[in-house]
Amino acid sequence: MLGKLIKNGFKSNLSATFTIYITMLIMSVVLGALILFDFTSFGTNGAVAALVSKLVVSLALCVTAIVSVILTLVAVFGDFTRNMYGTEGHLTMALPVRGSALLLAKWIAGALCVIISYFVFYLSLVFCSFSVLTDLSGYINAGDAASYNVYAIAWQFITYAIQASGKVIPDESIIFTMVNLYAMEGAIRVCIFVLLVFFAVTLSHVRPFSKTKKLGPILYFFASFAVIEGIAKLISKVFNIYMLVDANYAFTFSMQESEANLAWSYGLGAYPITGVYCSLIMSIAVFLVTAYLIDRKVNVDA
Amino acid sequence: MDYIPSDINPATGQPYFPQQEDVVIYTRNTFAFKVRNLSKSYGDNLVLDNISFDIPAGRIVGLLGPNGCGKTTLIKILAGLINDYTGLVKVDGKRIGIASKSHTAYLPDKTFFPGRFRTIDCIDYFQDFFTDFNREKAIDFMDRFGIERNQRVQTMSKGMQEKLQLLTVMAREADIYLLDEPLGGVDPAARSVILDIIMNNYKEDATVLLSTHLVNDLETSFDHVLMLGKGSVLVNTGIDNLRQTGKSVEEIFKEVIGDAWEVD
Repeated sequence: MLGKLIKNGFKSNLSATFTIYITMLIMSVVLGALILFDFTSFGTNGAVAALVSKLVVSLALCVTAIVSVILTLVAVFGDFTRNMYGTEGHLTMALPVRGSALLLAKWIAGALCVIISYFVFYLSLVFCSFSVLTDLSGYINAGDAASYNVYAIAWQFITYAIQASGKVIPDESIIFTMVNLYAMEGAIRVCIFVLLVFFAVTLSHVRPFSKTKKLGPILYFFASFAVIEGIAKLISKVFNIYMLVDANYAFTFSMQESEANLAWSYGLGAYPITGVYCSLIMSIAVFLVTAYLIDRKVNVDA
Repeated sequence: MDYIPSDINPATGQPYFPQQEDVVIYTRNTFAFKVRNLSKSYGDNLVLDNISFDIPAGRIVGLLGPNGCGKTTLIKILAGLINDYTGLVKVDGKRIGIASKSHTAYLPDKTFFPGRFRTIDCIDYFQDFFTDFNREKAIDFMDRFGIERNQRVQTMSKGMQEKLQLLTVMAREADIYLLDEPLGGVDPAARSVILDIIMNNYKEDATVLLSTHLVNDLETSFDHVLMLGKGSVLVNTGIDNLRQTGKSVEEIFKEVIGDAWEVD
């Protein structure tokens, strides 16, 4: 039953964003063609036209990527509100499933759609920056293998800047691990964000909290967010654990901030885990409360 | 037998009891609905005021009452859509929850299918979640109503959407049907078709609770009548008891509801 609920959640969310993703795909293909095609054979005018076209398409792609993230958020939260507590709630809430199953399905489908939209957004930014960098580095025709070195050149600039500030550049494997850890944290934070919005919307359909009308979900979201983040910060201050990462992918743990700082200065990675995982544990409590409200307290008033 | 008498009929001053043979025939768990001390308010507005009633299973029950008397609220409580009430409510011997919902087919007075759904998606959705759903029956209904399989819900008229909802709900072989104003927004010509679909397609021995204002159109179909007014149960009895008074359901409705109507 959970699988069917997730499938329906995905269908519902993606139906709202499908068109914009197709548009972005077309734009990416056009941009790719502009990068790969050699316009220098058309002379200076051809090269300038190609440059302007690339900038216009890159800008359009970036704007569309931002719009796709916003649209996904609106689709996910709008679908949850309408599907659970709007007129569609007459169908959803009469299904023979537990509130926890309904919520979990909406959470998985919603969070994944938001994560996908963020991923597409970053991918678009990288693609656009690649397009712009190929021009800035003077390689109009990126078919030339040398043009792919633009990132190497950019990376060199960054390393010079870091070294100039007196810090050590970590090993590639450490950077890779740290990027993965922070990407995972980003995904966890998206999941927590989506759940808190679901909680806020649900609470705004429970008496007496429903008296706040349309302002309710916003108020309850910020209140619950402040509580969770406040507690997580407090615990982090008292009891912070760092994951120290070395080049052999070996993890050690430390509770000393000085050790974490030392690790960075020696070109190792130090990742603070207390805050995000405290928030994650608290979000499990939020999930259980929300599921209870759906089962026992909420009304479909539409 | 834990059976409590229904409320007093203010028109006659007499309590309505189930007929003696009902008490003999219906043993444990033969009540479709068991409600004890149910109260529900919206803010200061008390819609259901400590009501208690039982309704035997296997009946076609007319839920009657003036606007705002709590018919829709009662149906939503029985369907599990309203949860912040006080009192005990059992449907088919079970408290409101997964078990009761899996045996209850609910038709609201609102359109509930997402606009992006095609007709066939609605059928698939019901098939996914209700094990008692009869797909062939639903498709047969669709053909009878002339509803295209690939038409999107958002392109349908309100009446057509209501028909689609009705056909999917009635294609379930449920033990309990909760139908909230199924004839409310339907033109008189389609009314008899819809009534025909309801009366000829519910599962044998199922209980149908049907709220309506159109007492005249439906009174010959009811086995049992539950009238609400002023937050109370005004009448809860079998149709035979009512007929003994020599009056039609509509006449009794006007008589009993009269006071409540004025108050509302």
